[in-house]
Amino acid sequence: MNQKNNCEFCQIVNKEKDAKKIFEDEKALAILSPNPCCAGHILVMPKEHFSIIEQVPDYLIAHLSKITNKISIAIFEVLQAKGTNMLIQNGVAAGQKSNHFMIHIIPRKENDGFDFQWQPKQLNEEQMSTIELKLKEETKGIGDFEKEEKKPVMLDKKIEKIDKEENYLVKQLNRIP
Amino acid sequence: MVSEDELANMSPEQLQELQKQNCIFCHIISGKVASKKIYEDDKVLAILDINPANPGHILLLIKEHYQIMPQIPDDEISHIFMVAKAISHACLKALKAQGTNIFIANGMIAGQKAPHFMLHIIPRANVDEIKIFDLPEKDIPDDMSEQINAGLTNKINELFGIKTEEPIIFDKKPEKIGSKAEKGIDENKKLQKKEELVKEVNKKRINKKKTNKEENISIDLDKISNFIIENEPKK
Repeated sequence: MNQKNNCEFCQIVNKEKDAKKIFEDEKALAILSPNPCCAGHILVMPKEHFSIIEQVPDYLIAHLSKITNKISIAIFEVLQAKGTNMLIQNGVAAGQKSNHFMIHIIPRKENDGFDFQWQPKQLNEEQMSTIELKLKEETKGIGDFEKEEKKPVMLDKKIEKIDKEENYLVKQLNRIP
Repeated sequence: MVSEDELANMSPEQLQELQKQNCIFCHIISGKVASKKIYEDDKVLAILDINPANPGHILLLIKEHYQIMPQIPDDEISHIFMVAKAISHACLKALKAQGTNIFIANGMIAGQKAPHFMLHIIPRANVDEIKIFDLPEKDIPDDMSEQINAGLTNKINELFGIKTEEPIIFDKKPEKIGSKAEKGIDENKKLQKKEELVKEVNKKRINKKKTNKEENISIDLDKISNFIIENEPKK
């Protein structure tokens, strides 16, 4: 709970703090970064508070990724960017500064001073093979993705339908002389 | 191999076919080139990068050949991100990583090296001295970010099919500026102005839509040829 109360981005979601919003729906929010690394630096985040990607439900990831894709299209067209970078910093070791999960979208132009090139590390065949085996063991279970529970929505619709039917019946009753 | 004239005369389908033939990652996916596979399903393939930023650096590829993210349909985008989450989790568990970076480079300027869309998953440790993923902070002038904000919001609303109610703004403005007495005299003129403004906005909207479509096609073709020209000298 403390984490949520102190979270800068939860405050933005709750409208306690101002931000330049670009897109908003019931589950997600996209804003211009309050601490931009360049003009047009965008953050896409779930409204609910999650620290790392592992906590975010699969269906929410799917939803966020679609929004990210649409925003990257808009960046190409509106800002005349020549490229975009998408980055998720997952954990403090990975450069994460806020404990609210988010996807960074960075518009790129020629000579903009960014350099996302890494120095390749040299690993021998044996090291590569052990990593391969370890990872393969853990990826065996991938495949069953969580789907959003749609039951509450179904119930709401049914109630509406019943209401309408009742009204219809009542009207009919009224018509009978 | 293929002359520039021939390239210029090719249809988009032919160009794509040619690209697939030249694409090293398409060969990896079809099995013609060996790789260390971590995960595979009907849509995506995860392999170990042979030039890793860190031990355990994984490339997550979509099996279909796409160059950049805007070309990919929504269902494949959401699938690749869900798999990325699962693989990131596997990195934490199997390699005892302290964090992961999930990274996409879209376009050559953004650091994309091959014309096949991919997502990088890089396991991180506190002491690994990779600093490229720490984003710097810059001062952006307020009016500039406001401009960007307005432009992007409009475009995104258009992409998501959300209608903005611009005429309301036109109705409000005259009320703020003019007093009641002025209103009576200039009402007809103002009404005319309003109509003109609405017409202009509508024209702009139609023009925008047209130009956007044209731009899309031309951008893609340029990129396709750029990639091929870049790739050829290496071979």
